[in-house]
Amino acid sequence: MAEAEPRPSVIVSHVDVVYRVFAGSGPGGGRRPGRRVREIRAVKDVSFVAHHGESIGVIGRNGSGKSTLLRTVAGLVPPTAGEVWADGTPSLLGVNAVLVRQLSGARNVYIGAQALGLSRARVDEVYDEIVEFSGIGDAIHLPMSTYSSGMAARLRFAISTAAVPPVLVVDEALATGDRHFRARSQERIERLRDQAGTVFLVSHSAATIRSMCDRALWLEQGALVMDGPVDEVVAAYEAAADRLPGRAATKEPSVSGVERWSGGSRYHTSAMVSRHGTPGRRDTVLLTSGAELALALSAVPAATKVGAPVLLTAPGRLMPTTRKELTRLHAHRVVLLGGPEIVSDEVVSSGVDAGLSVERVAGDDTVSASLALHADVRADDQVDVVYLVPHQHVEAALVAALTARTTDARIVLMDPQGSTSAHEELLERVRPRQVVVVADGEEVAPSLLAQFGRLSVEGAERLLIPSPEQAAVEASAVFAPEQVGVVIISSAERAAAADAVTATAVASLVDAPLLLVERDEVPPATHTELERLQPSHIVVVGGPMSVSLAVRQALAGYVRPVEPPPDDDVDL
Amino acid sequence: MSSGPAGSVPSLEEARALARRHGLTSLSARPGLGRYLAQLWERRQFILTLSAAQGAAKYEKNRLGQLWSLLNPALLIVSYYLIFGLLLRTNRGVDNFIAFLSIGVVLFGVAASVIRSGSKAISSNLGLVRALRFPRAALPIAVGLTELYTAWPAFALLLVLTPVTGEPLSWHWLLFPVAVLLQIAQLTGLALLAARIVNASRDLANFIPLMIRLTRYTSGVFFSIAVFAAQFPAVVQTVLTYQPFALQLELGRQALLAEYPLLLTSWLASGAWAVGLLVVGLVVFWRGEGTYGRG
Repeated sequence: MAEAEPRPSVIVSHVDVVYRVFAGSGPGGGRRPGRRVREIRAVKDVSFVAHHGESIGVIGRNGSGKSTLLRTVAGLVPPTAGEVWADGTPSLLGVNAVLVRQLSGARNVYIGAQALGLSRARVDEVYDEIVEFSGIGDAIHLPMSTYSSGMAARLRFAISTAAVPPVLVVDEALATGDRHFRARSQERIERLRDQAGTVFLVSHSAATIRSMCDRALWLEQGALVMDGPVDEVVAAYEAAADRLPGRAATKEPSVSGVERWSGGSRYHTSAMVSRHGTPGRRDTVLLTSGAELALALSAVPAATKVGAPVLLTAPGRLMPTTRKELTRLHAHRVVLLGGPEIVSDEVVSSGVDAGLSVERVAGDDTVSASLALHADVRADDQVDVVYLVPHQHVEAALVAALTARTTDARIVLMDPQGSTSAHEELLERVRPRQVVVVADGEEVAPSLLAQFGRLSVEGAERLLIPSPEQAAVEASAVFAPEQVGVVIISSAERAAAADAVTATAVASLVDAPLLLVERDEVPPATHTELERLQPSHIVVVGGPMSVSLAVRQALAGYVRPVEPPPDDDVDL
Repeated sequence: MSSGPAGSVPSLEEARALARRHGLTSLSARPGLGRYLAQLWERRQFILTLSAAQGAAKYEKNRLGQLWSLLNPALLIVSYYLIFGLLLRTNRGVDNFIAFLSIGVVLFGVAASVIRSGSKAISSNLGLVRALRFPRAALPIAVGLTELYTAWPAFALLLVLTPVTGEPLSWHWLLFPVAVLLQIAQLTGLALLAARIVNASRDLANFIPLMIRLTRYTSGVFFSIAVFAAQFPAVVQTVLTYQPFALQLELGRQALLAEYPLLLTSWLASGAWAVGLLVVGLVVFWRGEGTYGRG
């Protein structure tokens, strides 16, 4: 009879895990020194048997005990009751991937691999392959404290899988890193299964579990709710999540180190970003139509110059969220960009009713409004570059606004088909070092370019639009990693352009790098730049429809790990 | 395969029988002491790698690097000489006080360092403990070996300084490495104990610096126990002389200084401490396996 049953790789039998937590000072300010111990039952009577060649996904909400259970399966947290058996020593890949932070990646390879039981000679053999697979490059000789969590996770994955563990436990670690690394790590996991290994995978993403696992465990408050084929279990889990709208389905889980600023509409997002980005008062606020994004972008450098936040308003009325934010900022001066054709008089009157002093920068169309905004700029202002942008080209305006951040610049909209005499008058007055036309030769003829060139000190040149992602990366190059705290992330999707405008304005104002992602992917150039910057904190501007939860989780992999306080060894 | 919780869940006994049939090992039960020691022996290369790496990292952040493992004891010797040799005159009964003091400062520095790092062996390696399964005793053991990697410049300083102060070369010097090894063995045992105690209660970590300070002033670093303890009852003298830290310094001095003749009792006592502390340390630490780095 024993011959008939398949050979198990992991047996978990009636496992309970209870954590004892030392409760700090009680709520009522009680400072009793006694031991106030609270017990938390993280895993409750869980039993299952895993077999060779299986890959098992573990799903459940935050705090359902998934991670604790897997740490028990890995033999790192002994159960309080019940027992765990395994065929060999399981290897755990967790979110916290740094082994010894003060040591170089290379030394960590040796320490990690030898702790897993590899001999020194064996590590010598696989060392190059580990480093190559991790994609760490020369940074392998730097201390791991300098690695981003994504780099650390990649190195850990490479170390752990080099030993071909019989049981591999992966806790969200694959969310980090770029597409290329994810694909290669999935390949390795497949290979491991083929070699009769067992893989456990925890992920927030039901799609990841579906694509990589054939069996799933569903945990709820530490107890095993369901164990079966992946499709059945995930479907049941999702159905249950839908029945609890306020909790699991609609509420995004928190991602450590990656905040999201977004509201129900572009106007709510704009107001919210202003509230978080400029928490104090501001003298001047620039109010501009959320329906004219090129115009809004053209105002960003000018607004940044005077320290004014840029708020998007609905063109027809002043929405309560916008009015509330204007009042909160205590602005003495609200500069409203455009005439009544662009933003209705109702916006002005609601603003005045709210006790604000609203000042219109008139202009029947966006080009004349953008010219009017720069009516007071003189040669004395020593403007470095003037960017000329076709008025209907939001993407060009975004590229200009991103590129303009590196110098003292102004952006002016133009109508390639219309008159440019007002622009020539402006250039004559401002006398910039350079004119940059953000349009190709078909849109703005070479002759016109030459004409603009004569009105600047060093002439005119074209900026042929790289992608906005690329423009953001190039503008970010002026930041040195050690001076970067927060990095602002927004979406490069066309549909999310309003959020990108808001993000550009706030990034310029608070002098933080801004990088763009796609909805479901961190583009390669952005990936490289994020690895270079290693921010301590990331802010995503825009909702899950413009930057998905999966991308937000992937962004967490770039956040610099928190430096622990130094040891004080004072002793005499 | 899909046995939901509603289905029949095998009992713990059935699961145990299944595990036994297929030769699976328990991850939850603490291995027996013999098995534990065998596991430690299997990871000996890991322990050596870890010690070497931590030794190298110790002064990595300083511009002068490992030079500090020479400068630190040298500067300490100078300041102790000014205070105890010239100001407080604790050099009664010692002919070659500079060499006497140097041996005391260097060897006690080793002891203080191992105990201090040993008590933090788990907490400062949580990254390893939370990620990898290996016998945790590897960590405090590595602390003792790390000290060998970092302290050799200080030992070299002693071997240069002692003849400079006029000590004749002698075959006794060959015993100095033995004295150091006995010291490291004793300290490793103490590091294992300290790691277990501090892991059981973080509050007790606050007593470690106090204990180190207390032993520094009672182990004869800068005075001769034989001279200063003479006024106390015999039992106090014996305790002060035969406590492990005093013996560690005594052995170093017997090996290097002509005025301290070799005494077999000192070496035997020291050997007994080394074996005793290692055994007690290993057993006590092993009994806590499974509690390290939890939470």
